Amino acid sequence: MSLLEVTNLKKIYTTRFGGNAVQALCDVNFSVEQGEYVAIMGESGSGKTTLLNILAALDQPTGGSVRLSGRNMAEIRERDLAAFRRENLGFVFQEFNLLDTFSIEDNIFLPLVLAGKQYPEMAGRLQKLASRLGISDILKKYPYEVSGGQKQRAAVARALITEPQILLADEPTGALDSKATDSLLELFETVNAMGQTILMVTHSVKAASHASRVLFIKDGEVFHQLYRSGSTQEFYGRITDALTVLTAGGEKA
Amino acid sequence: MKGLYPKLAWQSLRHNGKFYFPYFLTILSTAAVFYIMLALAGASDLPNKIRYAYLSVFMEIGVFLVGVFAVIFLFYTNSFLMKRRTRELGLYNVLGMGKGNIAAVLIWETLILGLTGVIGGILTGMLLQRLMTLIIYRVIHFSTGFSFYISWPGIVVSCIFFGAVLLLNLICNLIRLGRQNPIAMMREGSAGEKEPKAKWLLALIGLGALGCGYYIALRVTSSLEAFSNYFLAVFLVVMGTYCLFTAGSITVLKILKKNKRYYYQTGHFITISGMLYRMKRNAVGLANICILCTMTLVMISGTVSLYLGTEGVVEVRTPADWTSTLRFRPDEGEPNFDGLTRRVEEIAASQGVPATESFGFLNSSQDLFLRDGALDTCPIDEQGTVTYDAELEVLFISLDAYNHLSGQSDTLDQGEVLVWSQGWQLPDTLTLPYRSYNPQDIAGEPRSFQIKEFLDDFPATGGWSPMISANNAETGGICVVVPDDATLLDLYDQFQTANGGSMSWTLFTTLSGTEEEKLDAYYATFLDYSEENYPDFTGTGTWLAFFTESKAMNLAECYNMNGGFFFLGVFLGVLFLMAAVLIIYYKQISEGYEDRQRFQIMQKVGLERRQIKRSINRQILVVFFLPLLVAALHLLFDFRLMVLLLQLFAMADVTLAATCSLVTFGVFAVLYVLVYRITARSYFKIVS
Repeated sequence: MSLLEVTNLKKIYTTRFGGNAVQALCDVNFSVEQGEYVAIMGESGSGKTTLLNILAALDQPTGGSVRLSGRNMAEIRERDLAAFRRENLGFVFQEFNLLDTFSIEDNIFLPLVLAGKQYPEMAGRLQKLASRLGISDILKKYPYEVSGGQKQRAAVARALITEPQILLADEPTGALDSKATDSLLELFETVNAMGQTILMVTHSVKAASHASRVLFIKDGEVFHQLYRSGSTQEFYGRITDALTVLTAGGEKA
Repeated sequence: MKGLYPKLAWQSLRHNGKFYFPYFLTILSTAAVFYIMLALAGASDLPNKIRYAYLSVFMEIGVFLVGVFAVIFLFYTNSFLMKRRTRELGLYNVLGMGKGNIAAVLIWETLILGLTGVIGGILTGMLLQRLMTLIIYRVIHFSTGFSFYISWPGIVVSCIFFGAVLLLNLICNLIRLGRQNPIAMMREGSAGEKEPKAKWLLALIGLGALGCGYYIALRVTSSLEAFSNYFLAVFLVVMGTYCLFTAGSITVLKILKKNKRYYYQTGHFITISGMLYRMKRNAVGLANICILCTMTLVMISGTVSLYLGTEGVVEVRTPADWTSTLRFRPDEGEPNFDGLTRRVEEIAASQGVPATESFGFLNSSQDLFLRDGALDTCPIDEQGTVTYDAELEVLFISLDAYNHLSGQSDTLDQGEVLVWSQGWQLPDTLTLPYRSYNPQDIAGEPRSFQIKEFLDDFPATGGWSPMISANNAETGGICVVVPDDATLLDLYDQFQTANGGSMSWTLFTTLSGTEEEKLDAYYATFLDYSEENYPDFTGTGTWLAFFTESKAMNLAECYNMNGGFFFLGVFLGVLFLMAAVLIIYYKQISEGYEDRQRFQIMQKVGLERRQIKRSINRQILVVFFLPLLVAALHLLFDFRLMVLLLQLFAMADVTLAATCSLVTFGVFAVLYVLVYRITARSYFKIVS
């Protein structure tokens, strides 16, 4: 059984007075296996963010279903959703979404505190994680005192500290310079190598080329997918080719 | 291009209506109040009788206070608005408007706001002027109406004053604009804030200042002491409030944060870290609200107590319509008491307010020193040192007079007395040594009486009786009822030998007719001191002085003064309340914008909506109700001071003062909660 199964997913946005209906997702089908590293690519407006929001249970689909470990997310009650999200999903965002009012350490603790964990346990988990992510030195600092790359590492730490089933990343390299991007992608690979399932939405070819599989979305449908083989460089080339076909408006491969 | 600026200005005012409408209302209402005060102060057709002279003085004080208030408040609001708008102005700048162009927009905005606000305010003032006049005339018990008039000086002064304040605001804004560069302006508001540091020293200073202020309030024992220490106490409490709100709150939160077990719990985690920043940003604003609330409460409860206590004060001083006091020395000749009574009744009849009852009685007020339970004329002991517990004015009256005034039918044997004593404990024997300062001088003969009973109440005897200072613990009051007039005269003799002084005879005359007629009768007879018009009292024996006080006149006079205080107190109280409301409103809105982003992030990380709401609710509740609670505490400690200060106005009814304070606080708290709920709605609208 796959870890994440998405079947016939549909999402239609209607304006407030029901005038215009915009179809963001028409019929999305794919699945993610335990330990996979999947990237979803597509242009702006292709429905990537909508898809991620639905996977994150932040938005409700109009049709179809999302199953995580066989559990249909549509069936989770509203008031259990926050807890479900906290326990099973980890998030990394483009704009980091760290709270300026907390130190880096407290930002990472946030989901655990919300889950009602005891301080010694939290401290123990953080210690292991911090040295792995190379953020031990900045734990006492505040988000506005550290660089973008460090902020994103802190955000990754916050996502991983709950030991989620799947890590969802939305354009994680979007706000980073190239050096920080490289080091973050390396980090993702390391984390993935240790068995963490990752689902990343991006339109950076470089970011996607580090994944083990790339899904292409166009006009609300999965248009194409590529499996990684060979080096990152080769994969980069194949993704670029696929994107060229995609944007040139070619028919479904 | 010319028509563009006013249009842009108007648009940005409308776009920022959430902020500018309250600002506009502030200008409007302060201008209205300012104009009304000016108009009332300068009302030319007010009668120039002595008894109404207070009104214009009160209104002038009002003009001054409202003026100061308007300056502070408009500056505060303006700086808040400009901070909010920095981004917007930065955007204009980036989009290609030069600073000159932006300045033009700002000038137009000020023009629009100023013209509509000030002119609208003066018009509103005119509309309310008549109503206010009616209210204040009612409050000061003045029945003559006067016609509506337009106060041109009032209009001119209001325009100049508010014009100047707004112009100053505009200049500040332009200077601010000139100093900033567009990128910095755009970024304003998104820059990270440093976590506040615990300021131990400031917190301790605040605690110390507040403690000292409270200590003074608790320790002060007399009215005069209260008066001279009042401003020091107020200053200390204000300083303490500011220090504690700014430094104290943060220090406490930091201590809580240090405790990891406490801090890392779902509820505490978000609340404490949120509160830290909230207090950092809002502490001064909250201290302002707290001080404003306290001022409003103290002012309203004080002036209301004073106003409602007027009748009681006048009753003690002048129990009858006409209260006449005669001073004489028995050894110089006997006054003709019956002749005086008849003469006063004749005067009343000739003025159309015939007397329905007359009652005269002998009494003697003696200035005595209380020492070791004895009341002596001399405060010096055998060793020649001055020691005494209190210097008291002790009133002696006869049993007949006491029974008549109180409606009792007590009896006394020779050598027995009834004593009413407040503030001081007397032994069962009343000892009156009547010693002299100089041992060589002749002293009076000592007298002593068995105290038959300590009285709980004592009837009003007119004049500055011991009852007025009775509630003052330091001074206190003692009244003694002796068996008959002979004893009274004997005691006076001893007192006179040792100390000198005169004997008194008090005449109560009850009149018929309305209050206004009684007042006019008094004006016509006793207030014209010229030789030919003052009543002729020849043939009424030998005496030193005879003078008459009118209850109606005292009432009018007291109502005039206390009513003025009352009006001013309530009026300014309402104004301060409005200021507090506006600050709360602005705080809610700015907090809302700050919280929106935090709220969204927390939701993404897995915090339930419910939890967020609960946490925010808790923070907001603490933030907005802390000032009210602290104000209540201030009011509680201030109460003693207030009671003592009210005694300066001869108002000694502690129960009434307590009731007024409680009711004032109750009404205020209800209003505060209402305001909070209404403004909280706009907060939640922004957040969700």
